[in-house]
Amino acid sequence: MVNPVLVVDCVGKAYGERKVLTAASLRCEAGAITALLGRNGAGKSTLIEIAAGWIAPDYGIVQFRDTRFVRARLHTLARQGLFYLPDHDLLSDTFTIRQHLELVQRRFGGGSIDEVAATIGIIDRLDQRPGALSGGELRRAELAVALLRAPVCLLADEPYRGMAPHDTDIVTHAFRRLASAGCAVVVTGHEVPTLMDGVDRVVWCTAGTTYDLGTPAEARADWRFQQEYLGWA
Amino acid sequence: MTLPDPVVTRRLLVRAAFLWFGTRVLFGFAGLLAAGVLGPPSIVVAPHTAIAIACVVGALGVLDVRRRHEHLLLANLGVSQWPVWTLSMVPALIAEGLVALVAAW
Repeated sequence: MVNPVLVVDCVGKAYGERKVLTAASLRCEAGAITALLGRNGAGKSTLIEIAAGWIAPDYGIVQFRDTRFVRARLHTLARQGLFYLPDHDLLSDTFTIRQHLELVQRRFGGGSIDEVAATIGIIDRLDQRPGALSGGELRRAELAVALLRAPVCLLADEPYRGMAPHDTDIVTHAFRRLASAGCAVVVTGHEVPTLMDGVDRVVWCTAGTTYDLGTPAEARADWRFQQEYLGWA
Repeated sequence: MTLPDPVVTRRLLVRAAFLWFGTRVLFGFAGLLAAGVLGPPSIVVAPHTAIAIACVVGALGVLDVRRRHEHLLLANLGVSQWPVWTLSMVPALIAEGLVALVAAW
């Protein structure tokens, strides 16, 4: 088995009386795209936030590139190559899209801003501020920042939300490009056909825990996943 | 401790200068209100009060970064909130020092 880049091991998280995660795990391997699926409120975003070091788990371990953290912090993991794409508010209206990309380029190096922007289809939006973009354009601009970073591990929370079909193809292609460069990619969302067609592994988050269902074909064959998530009779 | 990019640092320092000014104005009002109890208000404050004002400005700087949704970007750039706090304190400390110097002169 390939040595994983990121391992989230048996984490739990409660908000007050409500236990969101009781024993959830996630394993991200270099060069693979993993889909984290689950119903609304199942804890996908919480698990991603814990994996990224954005929030602290009540218990459990996060391991990133062979270093184990009881309390991982995003800024620490980011220095080591992780990039967290939240479901909103990555970009600030303080800067234009180009300035955001320049910040990443100056900090971490990376490729050409124009090339990345052209790949993701936002070349004509580079000198605008995030507030002036549509939902789909904003999502692609956020992804452009991630692409330019060329991370070792990308955690993307609902990257396809609010996107037109043509844009989803662009984003899927971008994820595949990152993975082929050796990046471990994790994406969440509810766009089942898009996700199942574009990923290598499926992890199902339900009832506070996670199930590694294997490849998309293996996931489709899982009767519990079919009945409880896909809604097949 | 990783410092933010110079472009971000410049903006943080300028904003912190405004935050210091606002904090000082509020502090002045509080001084006027308490004048009856504490005696006539003075523009110069004791060193420990100046440091406390700088700490408040530092905290306001962190909150301002969150309000502007810059904290996630900074974290993804490897910058924690402590450099933001520290940088936001710098204009306040310099300004308090200048106020003390001018008042003494």
